[in-house]
Amino acid sequence: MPAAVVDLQRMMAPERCVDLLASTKMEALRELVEVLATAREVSDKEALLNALLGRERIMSTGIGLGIAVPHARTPAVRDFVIAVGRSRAGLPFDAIDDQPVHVLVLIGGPETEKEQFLRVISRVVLFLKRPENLRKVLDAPAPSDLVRILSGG
Amino acid sequence: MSPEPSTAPATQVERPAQARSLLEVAALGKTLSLEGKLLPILDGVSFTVREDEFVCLVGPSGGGKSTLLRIIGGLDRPDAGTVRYRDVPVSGPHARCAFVFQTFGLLPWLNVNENVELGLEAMTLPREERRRRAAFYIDKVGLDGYEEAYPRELSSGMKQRIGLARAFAIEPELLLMDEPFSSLDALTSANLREEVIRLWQDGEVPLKSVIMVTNIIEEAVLMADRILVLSKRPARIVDDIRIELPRPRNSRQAGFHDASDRIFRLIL
Amino acid sequence: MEFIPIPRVALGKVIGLLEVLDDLGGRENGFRLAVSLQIEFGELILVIKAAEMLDLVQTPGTEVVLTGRGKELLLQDINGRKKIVKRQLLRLPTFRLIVDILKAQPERKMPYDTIVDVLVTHLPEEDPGRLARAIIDWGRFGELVGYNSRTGTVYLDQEE
Repeated sequence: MPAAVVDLQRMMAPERCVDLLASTKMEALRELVEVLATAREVSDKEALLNALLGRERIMSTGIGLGIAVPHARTPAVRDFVIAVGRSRAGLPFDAIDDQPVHVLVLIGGPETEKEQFLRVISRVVLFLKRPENLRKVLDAPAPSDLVRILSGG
Repeated sequence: MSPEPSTAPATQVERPAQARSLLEVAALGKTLSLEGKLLPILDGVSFTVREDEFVCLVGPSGGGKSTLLRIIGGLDRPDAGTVRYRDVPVSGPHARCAFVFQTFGLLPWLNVNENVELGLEAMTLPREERRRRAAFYIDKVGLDGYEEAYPRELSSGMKQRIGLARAFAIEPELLLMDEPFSSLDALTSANLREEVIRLWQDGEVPLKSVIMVTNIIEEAVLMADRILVLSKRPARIVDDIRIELPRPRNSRQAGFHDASDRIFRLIL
Repeated sequence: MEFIPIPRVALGKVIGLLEVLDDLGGRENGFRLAVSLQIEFGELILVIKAAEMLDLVQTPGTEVVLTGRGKELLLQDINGRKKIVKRQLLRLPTFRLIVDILKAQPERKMPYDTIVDVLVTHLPEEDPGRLARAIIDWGRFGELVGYNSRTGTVYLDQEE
């Protein structure tokens, strides 16, 4: 799939990257959705949260290596948004390798953008699965640095 | 005048006394009219097919083999000679024969199950029996699991299986196949060839005999009990070769290459 | 967790490969096979890869060799073959991924799009639509999964 078509930077913003206070999966998802509450792309944060939970029910988006990519396509989202949360302590996420999650990248997409949605997920996962990238994300001094890092800077 | 059937070098097998004759083709002739010109395509074709025989027709391309098959199945009429099925003259399509063609002939807007049942609509069968047969033969050809699939979702091998299921569901005694594997790749053909032989031998399937047109000599030697070699147009039978290699066959069997070579030379 | 993509190869071709190898005595050089079958080498490689994934052939060096399981498959009729394929499919992590998710659903079914979503999450380098179709095709053959293209639903075969 052509990853070059995806411009992650447009979907991110410094204020959408946080160091999480949460200590459970549910709290983390709420916290990240809250971070998007003022985003113009999100019209209904409760609907977004429900959609994310629906996806988690199918199978945890904890894909291993401390990475989670909660995501959902929903009418509650007008255009793509990404929020990033870090957890130094690690969160129980029912991940595929049973390990705690340290980086969560929440991806919200409009219901109608099926193909692009898949490309965004693919791009994010491929990026994070490279150990050097994951390291950069975990070591960045301020969460606001993550916009630059995740968009390939 | 058809020559005496001859035997490819192999173990001598006593043929059971008088397996019943299914099909008798006598002095068949056919002339086509093309752009105002008359083209004799078959001339004096005679042969008999018995129960439990797998017969292949081989010969040069364009040599009338397909026409011959269509006449046998009642889809076309000869200009000379006769075709008798169980001693009754063939005057049109009949339920004891079914066709399988090279181009699968599937309706794209019907799923597998519907395509198979379609072949049964012309027969006066109660709905339950149609369903039972469709399910039975879909299972027999390995399409179980694909009943609701549409042709576009399927590989060409799977599509041809639908053609086979449709033909088998009619429960013919005689199956007429016109180059059924020629639009398939070598691997898919290798697979289906073997499965067709299994189906023919399957005790639960009432099929008795098969006449298959093929352009691949090795395919004929792999599958047939008898190979009828046709000449160029106007076609007549130049040889009727019995293949007595034991099944399951493979190309390393003694006598396989001799038989192939012999047929190849006849067609040249 | 290592998920290996399922190649988009019809299982009829895989079985055909086994037939051809059997005809040749159980083994053959890969290049020679491509030439004699008149198949693009690249395409043959995919078929061999698929057969190997299902433990029906092995590929020492440049040769392709029938395994015991491959020989066993050839002795079966089509339904016996499907049973062997099904057994082999359940050994593949990528198949288990989808089967387990389906099993966990209340009605043991799920939209095609959701399967695609799960696949892109765990195999991000692959074209998820293509992979989904490959899984469905093999799954149907093995009578493990069913797919209704009208409703866009993938479901687990009742026997599972």
